[in-house]
Amino acid sequence: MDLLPTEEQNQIVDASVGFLEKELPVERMLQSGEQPLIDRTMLGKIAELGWFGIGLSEDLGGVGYGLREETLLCVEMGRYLVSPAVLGSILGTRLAAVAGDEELAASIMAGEKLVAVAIPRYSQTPVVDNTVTGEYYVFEGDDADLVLIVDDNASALVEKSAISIFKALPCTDDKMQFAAASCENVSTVAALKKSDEDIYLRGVLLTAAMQLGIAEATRDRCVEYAKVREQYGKPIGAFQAIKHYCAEMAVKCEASLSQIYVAAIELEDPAKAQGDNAVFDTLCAKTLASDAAMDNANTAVQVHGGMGFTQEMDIHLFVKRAHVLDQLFGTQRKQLQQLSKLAGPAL
Amino acid sequence: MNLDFTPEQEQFREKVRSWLLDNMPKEERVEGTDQAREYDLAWQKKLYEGGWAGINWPKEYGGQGFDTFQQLIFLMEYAKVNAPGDHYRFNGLNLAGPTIIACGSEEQKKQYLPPILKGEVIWCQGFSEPSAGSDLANLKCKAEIDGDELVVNGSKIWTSWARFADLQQLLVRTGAADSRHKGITWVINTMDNPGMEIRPIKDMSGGDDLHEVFYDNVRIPLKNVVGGIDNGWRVSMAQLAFERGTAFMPYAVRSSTLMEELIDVAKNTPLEDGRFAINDDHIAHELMKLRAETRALLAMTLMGVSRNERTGMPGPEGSILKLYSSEIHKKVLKLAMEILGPERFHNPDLGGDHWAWPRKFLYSFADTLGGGTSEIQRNIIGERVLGLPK
Repeated sequence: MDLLPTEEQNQIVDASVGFLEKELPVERMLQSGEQPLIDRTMLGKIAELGWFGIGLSEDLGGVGYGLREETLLCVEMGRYLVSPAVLGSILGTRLAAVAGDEELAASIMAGEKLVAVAIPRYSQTPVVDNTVTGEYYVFEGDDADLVLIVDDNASALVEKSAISIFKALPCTDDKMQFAAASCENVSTVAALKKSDEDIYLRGVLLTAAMQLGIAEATRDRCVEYAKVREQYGKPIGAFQAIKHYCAEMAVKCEASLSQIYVAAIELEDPAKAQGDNAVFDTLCAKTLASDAAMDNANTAVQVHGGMGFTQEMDIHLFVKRAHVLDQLFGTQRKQLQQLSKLAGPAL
Repeated sequence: MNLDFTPEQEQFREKVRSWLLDNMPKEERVEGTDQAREYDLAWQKKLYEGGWAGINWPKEYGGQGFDTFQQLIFLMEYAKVNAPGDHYRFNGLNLAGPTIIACGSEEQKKQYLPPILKGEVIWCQGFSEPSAGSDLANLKCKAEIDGDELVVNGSKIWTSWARFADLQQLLVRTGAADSRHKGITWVINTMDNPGMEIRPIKDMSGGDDLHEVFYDNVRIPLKNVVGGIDNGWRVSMAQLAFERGTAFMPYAVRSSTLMEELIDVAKNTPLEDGRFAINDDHIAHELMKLRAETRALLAMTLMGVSRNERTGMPGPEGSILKLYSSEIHKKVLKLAMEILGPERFHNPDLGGDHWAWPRKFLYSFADTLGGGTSEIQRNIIGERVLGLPK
């Protein structure tokens, strides 16, 4: 038993952080202008790193790592406020590959096609093999080629161009593309039943990982700021009011981190993935990570004082992104409802 | 990143489990009575005879010398079958014993260690004082050297189970009044020593585990000093070296069990509108949030053990576990009161011991006070985990 990443896993994390720090530093978000969260050039670079197929087995055309490595990568993606479409493409590659559409999987993995993520609004009918109907919101859809739609029993990819009405809207998360999508009998290009592959549950875990990235990034920013910002002649981190905020942020990170790692291990092992513990622990992971991301981002504004309220610092970006991630792959309310239907986990 | 135990470890798990199920006492333990003392000592004797006493003590001192994973497995199985808690045995096994192993003389080890493992003595602690709570280094209980004895005057407070104990690990002021950490001595006191007065303190839950202890010219032989005069601060930290990150496993398992019990209560407790509590959205929501937090406590324990294995020491992250664990326990019991509604005030015929919930709720206030308050844990996390200034 060892919950911590292996040396090889740590190397994957280090390499991804190196890339993100160079190509997608959080400061990029503070620049004015209309540049999107992800463009075609960046898509190509990320594809070259193999991120879109990192957790896919080699016999399905992937890089050959697993869910644990995907999870570790998503924590870093959360920390650097990477577009949710990267998560969409990671899941889209898997969906297409498991559904048997090698060509589609290869094109997503190569960064030729980008996958946006839909969340339900109302009037959805269950996603079935060949059509999707209902009202959705779509994150990062304007420049995307495909949209990932999941519900409790199935997951599907649809061509964005096939969506009946696709209306771009401004989004509270500054550079996030956002749109209302009306689907009426939109044909799917690939679909999976939950019993084939639970894309929803995988999405729940990877979103939780991105939320953990936000929780850790805001914790770290607060700690650094509290060490240097002085009032009453000393660093504000010396005051218990601030110190205890930071301690609570650390506690929330540790709880989410531990739970996410356990869930990733259980969900990756096919023998255990069908068991209740994997489902239970994954739902717990996002419940905890949602709170950690939201609460830590909120606290971070308070710790940074007036400056935290401005757009001159990056703190507000984490508040806004935490809200987006809370909505992806089921809200906390939904996860708690699902949890309430499960028996207690085996100890 | 794995949760795998080796076949040998799984065999060990089976062995622990079956021994416990075959040997656990069946009778009720009555807290706060001599029966509880006899119960705890008898159980310790049984553990000793079965080869399970002192799981984290080195073999040369009669312990089992289990590795970290064996300790983890033992504690997990122990809690899962709901074997008797440490109770009155706690101080001897976890504090006094390890301290004497780390800092005691050969003679002290020979005299004091075997009776702990064999279930012959109960130890208590004499650390806190009325003016030295969170600020332990401010303790004032004075000890002056007179010939080959220490003469102790002062008082101690929050001493659990003092009236049932035989021996006490006592911190006394041997240095100047303002010497703080540098003038404290760790000494073994006997509880029937003349000049002592033990006063139970009734707590808000109705229990009287806690005591105030007064010392009026109490004479303790100098040979009972462990680790040297004025060295008590360092001596009192020595037991930390025995911690492998496993300390909160029993709490994690018990919290999970308690949580599932509470969900059952919610399924059986009617609200004023006739629905069962579990069918109320607010209650279901709060229950599931706490269920997730409780689940994380287990994962955090495994994370703590993993870190310990990598670094060779438990580290200040233990404070995160202590804080999280005690705050959750309080929240679970507060929610229990909400679920029970007006039933919390008496013992209704709802099946099960419902009076146990209010009692546990009232006792849970101790969780965030004892063993270092939540505020102290947050200070430790801020300063030692995050590196914030003092």
